[in-house]
Amino acid sequence: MNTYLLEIGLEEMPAQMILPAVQQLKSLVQKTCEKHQLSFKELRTFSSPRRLAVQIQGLPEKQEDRSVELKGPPAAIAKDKDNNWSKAALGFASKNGVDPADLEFREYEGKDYLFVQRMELGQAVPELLQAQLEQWILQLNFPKNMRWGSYRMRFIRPIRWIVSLWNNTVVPLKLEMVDAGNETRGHRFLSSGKSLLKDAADYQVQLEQLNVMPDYEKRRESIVSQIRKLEQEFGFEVELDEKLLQEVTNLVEWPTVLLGDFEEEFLELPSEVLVTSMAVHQRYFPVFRKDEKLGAAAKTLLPHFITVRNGDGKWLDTVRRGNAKVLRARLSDARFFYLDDQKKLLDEFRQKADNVVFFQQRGTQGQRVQRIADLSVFIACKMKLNESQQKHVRRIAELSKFDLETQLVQEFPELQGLMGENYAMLKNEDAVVCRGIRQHYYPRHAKDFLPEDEESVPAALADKLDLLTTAFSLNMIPSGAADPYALRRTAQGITQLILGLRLPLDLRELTSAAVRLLDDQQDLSLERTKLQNDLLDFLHQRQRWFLQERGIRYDLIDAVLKTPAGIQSPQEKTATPALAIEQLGFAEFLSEHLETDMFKRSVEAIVRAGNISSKYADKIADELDESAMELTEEKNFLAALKPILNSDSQSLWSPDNYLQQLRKIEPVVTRFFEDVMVMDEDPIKCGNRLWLCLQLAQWSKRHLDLQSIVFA
Amino acid sequence: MQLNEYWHSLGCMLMNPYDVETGAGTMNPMTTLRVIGPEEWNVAYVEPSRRPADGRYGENPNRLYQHHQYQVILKPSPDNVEELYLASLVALGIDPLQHDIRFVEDNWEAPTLGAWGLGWEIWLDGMEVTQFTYFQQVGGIACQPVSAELTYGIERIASYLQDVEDVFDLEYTKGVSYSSIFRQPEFEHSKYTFEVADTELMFRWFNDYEQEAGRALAEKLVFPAYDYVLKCSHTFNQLDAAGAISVSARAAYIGRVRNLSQNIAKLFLEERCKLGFPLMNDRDAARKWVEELTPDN
Repeated sequence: MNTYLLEIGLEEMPAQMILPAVQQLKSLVQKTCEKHQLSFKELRTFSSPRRLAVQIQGLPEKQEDRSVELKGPPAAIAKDKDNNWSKAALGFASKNGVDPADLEFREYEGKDYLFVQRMELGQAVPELLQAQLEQWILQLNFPKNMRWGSYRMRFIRPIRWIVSLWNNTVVPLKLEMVDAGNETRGHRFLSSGKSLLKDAADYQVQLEQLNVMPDYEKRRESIVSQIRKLEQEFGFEVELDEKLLQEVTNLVEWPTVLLGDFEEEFLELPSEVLVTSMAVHQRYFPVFRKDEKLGAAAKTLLPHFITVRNGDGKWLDTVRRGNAKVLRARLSDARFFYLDDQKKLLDEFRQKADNVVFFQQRGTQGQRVQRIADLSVFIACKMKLNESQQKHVRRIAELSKFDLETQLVQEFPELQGLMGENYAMLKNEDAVVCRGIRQHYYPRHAKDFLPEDEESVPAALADKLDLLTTAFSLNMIPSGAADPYALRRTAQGITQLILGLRLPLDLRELTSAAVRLLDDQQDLSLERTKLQNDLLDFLHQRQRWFLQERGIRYDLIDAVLKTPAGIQSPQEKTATPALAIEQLGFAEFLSEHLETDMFKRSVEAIVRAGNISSKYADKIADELDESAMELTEEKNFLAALKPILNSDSQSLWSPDNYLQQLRKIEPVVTRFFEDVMVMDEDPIKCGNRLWLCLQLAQWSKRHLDLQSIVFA
Repeated sequence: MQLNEYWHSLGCMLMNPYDVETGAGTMNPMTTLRVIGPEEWNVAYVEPSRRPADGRYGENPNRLYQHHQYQVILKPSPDNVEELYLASLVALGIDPLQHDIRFVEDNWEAPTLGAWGLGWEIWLDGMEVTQFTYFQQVGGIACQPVSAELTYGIERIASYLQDVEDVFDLEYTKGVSYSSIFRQPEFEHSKYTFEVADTELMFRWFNDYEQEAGRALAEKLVFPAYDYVLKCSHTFNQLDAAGAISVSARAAYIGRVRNLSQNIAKLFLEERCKLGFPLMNDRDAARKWVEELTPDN
């Protein structure tokens, strides 16, 4: 059996692009093998900052010979008038290099055609691969390509060498800047210059001798086990953030883990500042005191860091000292900002926001904060928060963005909110206000926390609603993949807040207020209704997403979302629309009852009542004429309808009551349709019966649109 | 200095800092303009670089109003450019086996120049000591061939070599500390930028410089026009550091400088073309370039 190896040698690739690139290479190779029916035992990929490689093991010498069936011209033109092969037939045979005697007729889609079986000899595999190599390389896609030197080619980083080996012979490939060969490069410092690769099969072993671990998993494992060893030795705990681990693994070819220290005095800084300095800026792993009881957030930092060197275990002290020095410089900088920021009053930062433009033509950040504050108070009233809570709500909103003007957040933008909380605490703001400054950003993504305090919720909603409204007012409505201001996530956040916290808020009131505040403040003369409908439509899609995530069936989602709150149409204006949480409540409750026989029969009966009453809308009685009711079925129907007729025709029933009512009325209505001729000749009787159907259908439709439900 | 010797031995011309204020070695026309067009260009020079926003009154151990860069341009970028760079560290006395040297992705962009490139920060034991960039576009013009730019942070490397924590503790030459030379100007420039500068006057300067750059451009005078762009750029940096420019206005000012830079880049290429790209060794190639770039030909 044979092995083929392709190694693309590059200057250091961006860490996060390495794994996707080698994955692409793998699938290109797989496609080639499928297309050419090439069998192999194993397809392995290797990658490091300086190389992307693929190794195909267990390849045959040549492709299997195979018989191919070729379709020719239709039988009708295959023979001439003397029953000899026609020109068309002979042409087909000679084009494919077969003897005309082997031609045969066969049916294809109802017509006869000429066919022939031809043996195709398998190609030698190295030749076959050689023809593909260049395409594998050229077809790799990267988010950002570059040129270098005087070459025309564009690639992720400059290509410096190519190894292309069939066992121990080179499979040639010529690129503009380099010819493929059998020379690789080892570790940049631990080995020197070019090294001969003797055999494609020994790639990994040979590279490891050159101090390169080309197997990503092995490199990762090596880092993890070295860190675990340090943990045991020193009794601390290291948090292995998967993303950081992946990045670090892709920054080194020969990992050596080392432990460094920083001065204990820096532990006075907020721990997020320390973690960000280490993990984000320096790619270090932070070290925590071992404590099994505490969650990750509550763990105590220790004045150490762990870094991964691209090299061996020699001279580690120098490397450690250097890294400690850099970290010390960063932390002193952070401390300088932290202390300096504290010298100012919170309101001074707020005033700075008056000079910062939020969106062109939509005022300053200061004005935006004003809108958030007004909208927050509006929402707080709707949430029926008491007066002292409302005071907190306003304060949270007013302080929601001040920290963006602090030096520390400008240096560490990822700490927005957190630093706001920290600084506000130092200025003795109420604890709930401080938490609110942090929590108003929640949820930042689909799996994020929701605010814990009620008081944080209005600002959390208002912040997102205002961003969405402002962007939409500038016609920045996301379409396709482009969504530079993350508006989908913003709208999703609103949905998560309302549905996740079960807030009895009406999105129409909220959007209306947000639009009004923006329009009035900036004096824009916006087309308010259109803007509001765009917003509702967008939020509606996110609501659908939320329900899907909850595992609610599609047809049930349609059924609840098609109720009046979903789409605003003038006819339905009279009915009070269902709130988003009521729709959620119905969807969740009915999910459990959807497949019961009773529910199925109810759907049938109500859909039928709805259909017939809308079909003969002109025949419906304006009022019920009880004197004309003779049949028991009619009377039973009316009796069962009483709770509906007696209730407020605008209000919604709880899902539970709705279902109980269905349970009561379903047998009566089913019976009614079985035994009563609705379209009686007597217009009064007919009008009466249609009236009963209409009342039932309208009542049900307020809650959900049963016509959307599909039974298997 | 060892870097001069090293790069000179590899065929780089040694140049001097520019005499108009620049924010970085990249802004020196020896880089900004010369990386445009097909002519070979290999130079090295020190550039005192003014960053008003980084002024810290001489109190911060790492940040300076004015720091020094060592700038190398290799055009076209040679195939072994990374090895050449690493050997320059060895020339400085940094043995890669004793340290951890890494190439960490860093993409460079200069909106005022209409320029971008791809490359790395080079980390020496976790400290960024060099910016390594392959210029892709400058002044809105695609770079062909591509230049490699190496920008060494001199203070950083020196503080590493001398093993000091604070840049002001560096020994500039035997017995003379960095502090004794630079602390006063650092303090005064910071004070001037943040407290004293007459921003109204500076706004006026910006407009005047911009206008004069435009006039020079109209007369097809590339280098004088570019000098005024540098002045615009520095004035803008001063105003920005003083907090006199709001975010939206900021984008507009950057746009004005970029506009000038792009016109200058275009004009530079045209003028070099008219001269027949005299710095190209391969005269046939030069003629081809001229043909390709001359309109109606």
